Amino acid sequence: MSITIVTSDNEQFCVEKLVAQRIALIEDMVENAGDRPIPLPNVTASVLRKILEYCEHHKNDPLPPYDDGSRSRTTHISEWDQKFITVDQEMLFEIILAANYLEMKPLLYVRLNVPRVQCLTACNAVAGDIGCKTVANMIKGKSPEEIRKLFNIVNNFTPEEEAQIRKEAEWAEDR
Amino acid sequence: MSEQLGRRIIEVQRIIELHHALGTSLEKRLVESGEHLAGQQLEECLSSIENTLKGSYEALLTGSSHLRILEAELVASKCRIHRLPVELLREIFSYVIGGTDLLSQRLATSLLQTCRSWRFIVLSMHRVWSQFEYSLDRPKRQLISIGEFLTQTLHRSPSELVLIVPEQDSEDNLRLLPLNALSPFESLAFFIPGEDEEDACNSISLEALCDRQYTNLDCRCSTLWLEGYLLGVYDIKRLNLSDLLTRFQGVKQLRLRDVKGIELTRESTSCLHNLTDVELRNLRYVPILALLSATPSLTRLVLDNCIFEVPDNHPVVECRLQTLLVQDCIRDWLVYIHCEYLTELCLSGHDPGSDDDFDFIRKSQTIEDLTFGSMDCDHIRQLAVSAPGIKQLTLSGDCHQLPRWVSETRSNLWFPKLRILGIKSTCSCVTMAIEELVRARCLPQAHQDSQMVAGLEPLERLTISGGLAYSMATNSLFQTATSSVREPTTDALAVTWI
Repeated sequence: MSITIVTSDNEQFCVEKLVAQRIALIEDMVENAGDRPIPLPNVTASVLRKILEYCEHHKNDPLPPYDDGSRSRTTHISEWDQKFITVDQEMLFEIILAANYLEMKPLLYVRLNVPRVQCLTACNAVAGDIGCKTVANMIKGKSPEEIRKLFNIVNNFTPEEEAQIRKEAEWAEDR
Repeated sequence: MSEQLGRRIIEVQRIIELHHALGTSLEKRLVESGEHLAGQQLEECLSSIENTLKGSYEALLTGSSHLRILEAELVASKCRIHRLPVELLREIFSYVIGGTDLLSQRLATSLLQTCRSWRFIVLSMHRVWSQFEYSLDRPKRQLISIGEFLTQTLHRSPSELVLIVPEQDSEDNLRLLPLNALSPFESLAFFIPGEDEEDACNSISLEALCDRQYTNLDCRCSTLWLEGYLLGVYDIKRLNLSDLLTRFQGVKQLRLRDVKGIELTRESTSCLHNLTDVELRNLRYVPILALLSATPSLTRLVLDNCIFEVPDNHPVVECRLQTLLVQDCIRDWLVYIHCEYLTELCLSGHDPGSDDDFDFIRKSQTIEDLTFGSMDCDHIRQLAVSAPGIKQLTLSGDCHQLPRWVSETRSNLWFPKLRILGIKSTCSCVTMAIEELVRARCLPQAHQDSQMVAGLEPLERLTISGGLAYSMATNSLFQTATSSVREPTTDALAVTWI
C-alpha cells in the first residue's frame, strides 16, 4: 500500500506506507487524510527525495541502542551515510531541519509498535542525526575563527569582550 | 531585505561623497583665509573650519559603523547554521563536546568563543560543566583562569571537582583555587600522586590541606575524597581528621586511601558528628575505636587493608552502623563494638573464622546480608548457628569443601530464611555439589527434580562467579531448572527462579 505526499514546491511523491510511517508527522496525518494526498508545506521536493532515499536504505536496520544521554556520544558515520550526507551546507541544514520537523524514527520501531515518545527519545540513527553528527565533525578541531568562517557566523563580541573571553579560556589550553 | 540593504549602502556612499566634497571646500577656504583675513577674523574662520571637521569626522564614524553593520548583515544572510533551533544546536554541540572530561571541555571552550548565542547555549549545557578534573601542576595563569571561569562565567560550582595535587609547587598553586567562592560541592576529591615511595613532598601537600593559612580552601562538600601515595614513607605526619573536617565542612561521606594514617584531636571531634559513610583503604594507623566513638551518625564503614590501634580494655562502643565491610584487616577490635542496627556485614581476608568473628556475628542479631571469606564447612556450620536469620549470603574462597556443606545444609536446615546465595570461587571441580544445591535449595518442592525438605522456601537467586561459572554454564540441570538466566557473563552466572 502506498500514499501520496505533496511537497512545498507542489511535487507529488508516491511512497510505500511502511516507509512513510517512519516519519511520525506523516503517520499522524495518514489516519485523517484517507486517500487524499498529504501536504508537507515545510519540505521541498529535493529535500524529501533525499530523506526518502535514506528511509529506503535503512528500512531493515536493527534497533539502535537506547541513548539516555549519559554516555559519551560518538560521531561515527557509516560509509553509506557519509556518502548520503555529502551535500552542500544549504542542503545539509535543510535535511536536519526537515528530519526534525518530520519527527523521523527507525522503521523497526514502527513494526514493534514502540510508543512515539520512546521512539523520539531512543532514536539516534535518523537522517537528522547523521546531519547533526556531520556538522559536529565539521566543527571539531577548529578554532573559533575557523568555525565562524566555515558557517559565515558573525563575531558579535566587542573587542573587549573577545579579549576577556580569550583570557577566560586559558585554563583549557594545553600546557 | 536586499532593498533595505541597498538603501543603506546608498546612504553610506552619500556620507563618503560629502566628506570628499568637504575636503575640497575646506582647502579653498583655507587658501582664501591666508590671503585676505587676519587677527580675530582668521581665528573665527579656523574655529568654524574646526567645527566643520569635527562634524565631518562624526559623520564618518557613523558611516563606518553602518558599514560594519552592513558587512555583518551580509555575512549573516549567508549563515545557514543559525536557522537551526536551539535544541538541534545543543544536539550538535553535545556531539562536538562528547563527554565531561578536560578534553571535551577544551572543545567546548572553542564553541564558547564563537558568538554570543553559541556561548549562551554551551554555558547552559550543565552536564558539560558538572564535573571538573584538574591538575595543579599547571602555570599559575591557568589556575587563576579556571578559578575565574568557575566563579565568574559559570556562576556555579561543579557538582564534582577532582584536583590532582602533584609534588611540584603544589603549595603555592593550592592558594590559587577559590574553593571558598565555589562552595558547596557535592563531591570534592584530592589526588596526591607521588613519583616514588620516598617522595616526602606528598606530606607537605597533605599538611597544606589542613593548614589554616589556606583560607581559599575553606568550603562545604558532601563527599570528600583524599588519595595519596604514601606507602613506605615513615617520617611524615598522620592526617588530623579533626583539622581536615573543620576546613571541609558538611562532609557526610569520607574516602581516604593511601595516606599514612589518621589521628583525632580529642577536644575537637564535634566536626566528625555529621559523618555517615567512611571508607579507609591502605592506612597504617587507624585509631578505630576512637573514630567509632567520635562518629555517632556513622551508618556505613568500609575498612580495607588497614592496621588498627586498639588500646587494651577499651569500653564497648555502641555504634549505629548498618553496613560494616572489613577486608584484609585484623579484626580483634570487633570485641569492643556493639552494632544494634547492623544489617550488612562483610568479613573477608586475613583468616576469617576466628572466635571473635563468630562472637561478633552472634551479637549482631539484625544481620540480613553476610559476606564471608571462607567456604570451610566448620565455619559455615558456625555461621548457621550464629546468624540463622540471614537472607543473603555470599561465600568466597576455596570451595573444595562445598559438597560437604551442601550435604549438611540439606540435612540440618541451615539458613532457613536464605533467599539469595552467591558463591565466588576460582575452583571449577564441584559441579555435582552445585547440582545438589540446586535440588536441595532452589527447585520448588513441586518440581520433579526437587529434593527440598519441608519447611524451606526456595532461593530466589543463586549467583555463581569465578571459574565455577564456566563449568555451570552448560550444566543441563542448572539450565533446565531455571526460568530465566539474567545477564550471564563469561565469569558469572546469575540465575533467578520465579
